[in-house]
Amino acid sequence: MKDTESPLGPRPKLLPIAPKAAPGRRHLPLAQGARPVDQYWRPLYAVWELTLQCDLACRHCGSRAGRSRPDELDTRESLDLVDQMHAMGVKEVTLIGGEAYLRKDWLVIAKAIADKGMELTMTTGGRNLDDEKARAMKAVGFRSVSVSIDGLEPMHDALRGVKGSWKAAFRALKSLKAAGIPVSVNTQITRPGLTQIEDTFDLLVQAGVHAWQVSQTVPMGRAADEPDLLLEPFQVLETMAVLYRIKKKADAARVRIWPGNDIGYFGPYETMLRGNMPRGHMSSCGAGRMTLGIEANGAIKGCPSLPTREYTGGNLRDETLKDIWERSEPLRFTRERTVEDLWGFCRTCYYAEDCLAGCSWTSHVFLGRIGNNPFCHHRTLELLREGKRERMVLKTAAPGEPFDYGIFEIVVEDWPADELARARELVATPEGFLLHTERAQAGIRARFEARAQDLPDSVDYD
Amino acid sequence: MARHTHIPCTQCARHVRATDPQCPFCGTAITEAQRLSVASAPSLSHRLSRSAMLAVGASLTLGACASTTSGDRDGQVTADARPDAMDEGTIGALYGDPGPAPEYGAPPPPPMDAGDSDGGPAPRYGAPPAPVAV
Repeated sequence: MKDTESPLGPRPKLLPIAPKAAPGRRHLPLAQGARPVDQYWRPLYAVWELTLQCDLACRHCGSRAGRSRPDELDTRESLDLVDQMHAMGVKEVTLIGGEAYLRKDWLVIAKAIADKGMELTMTTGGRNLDDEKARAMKAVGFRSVSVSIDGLEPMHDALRGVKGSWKAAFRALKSLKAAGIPVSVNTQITRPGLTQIEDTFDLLVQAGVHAWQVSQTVPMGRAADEPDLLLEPFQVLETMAVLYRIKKKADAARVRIWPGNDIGYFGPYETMLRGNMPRGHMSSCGAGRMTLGIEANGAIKGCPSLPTREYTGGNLRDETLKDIWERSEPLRFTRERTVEDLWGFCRTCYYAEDCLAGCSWTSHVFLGRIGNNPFCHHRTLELLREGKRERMVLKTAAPGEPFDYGIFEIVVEDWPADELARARELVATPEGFLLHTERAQAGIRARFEARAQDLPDSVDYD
Repeated sequence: MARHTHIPCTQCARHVRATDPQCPFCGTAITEAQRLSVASAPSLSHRLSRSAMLAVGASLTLGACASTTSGDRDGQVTADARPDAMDEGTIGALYGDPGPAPEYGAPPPPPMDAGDSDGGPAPRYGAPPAPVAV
């Protein structure tokens, strides 16, 4: 395969698409007591995987969703968790999956959240979110629902693994709006999808979204099996240029851009993208400080995206949420971090003390540890000044479990001469894409359209 | 550890430490007026919802562009306070307000009374949104 044809070919068969998840780890150790800093930080925002069951088969799914976990919380346990979150001061809960609406009692749990006065939101693929569900969601108090849309139709369907996913996502937006629920969209930027993001955004504006959350695909779960889906660090230059262009459209349309914590950092567009945050810029990883991640079996993490194995602090069947939040080591890691915990480029960076290497998830799933993040606008610009760029090379494949990851290595290299000139132009203007990306587009688009013809109409994991 | 207050450079838009005499990226001098216009790192927004935090951020941004607020402007907060001496302000200033945007989450809902003053799209430097009542 030529380098210029970055593809999304047939799905890899080496690992199971939807493995049966292992039961959650139990009886994890907690510290003897809570420190002031542990009691200071409160989970303001909780993201709750209600079930791992899913009606899509996304090729970039970090949790390898499809089948339910074998040990998901029952209704009584879930309602108890709602009470505990409220007591802890959680202000907003986003329900995710798998697909949250596939759980029979999902509206019972959702209503309990809203009844406690917590803002209730949801992220969904929208495959089977119809008018009836939307009306029921309005009745229980959903404040906003975000539908995942990753590109134009052939690309989105190929990524989501089911024919008709794109049309269903837009139907879901329509149903939600008709029911009176504000709608937003989550988009993951993949390498083959990068050049479609602006056209996709135009369609989202037409669909009437109030906000757009954008992240990049990183190698967790199924995405770890497909390195061709992943952006290279040097492509941050393109990503940020795309976001700059989209931001201008978004301001005109009064659509709020909500960059995920993996987008940034501290480049010339930081104020444009995060100027309305309290500090006027990003402020390092919020896992375990304001953010709480809950897996369907009661496993508690500081952020929903983090790998299960290393970042589960405890299980609700063993300890209270408060005890896990305050006394588990995996939830404490951002509370007293310093520059001493950083390594590589990030260790000596001008922004080190404030950024602390940005998104922990991104660092960990690429490099196996936090503290060094090559997907950084500032870093890419600094390297560009020296004519250098970074690429990621897969060294160890993922084992095939939910929320697993492989190990990559950073390669620092010279920019090819023609790309170096183009990269500098892209920074200055910021229009267009790198030459490599432009050359690859025709092939990619044709391949996606071909792949879309072969997709199943639905998935049945059992 | 020290955390810094950052000011966007008026020339290149990069964030510059308020203690630096000039932008390390383009050499533009940081003026005293710019230093004075930066609001202190907020320490209360960690008790707010994300949508309320955005509203606070929008109003701070507005304030930062027009403010003549006074106070300690050294741009740094030292982190040698003992844990038992920490209060909300101290820790908030030390660790900042990250404004959670986990990739598996969703954008916050719009304010209940969203209209033209919803704190909406993030402003570019020098073009803040309409004031927001908080």
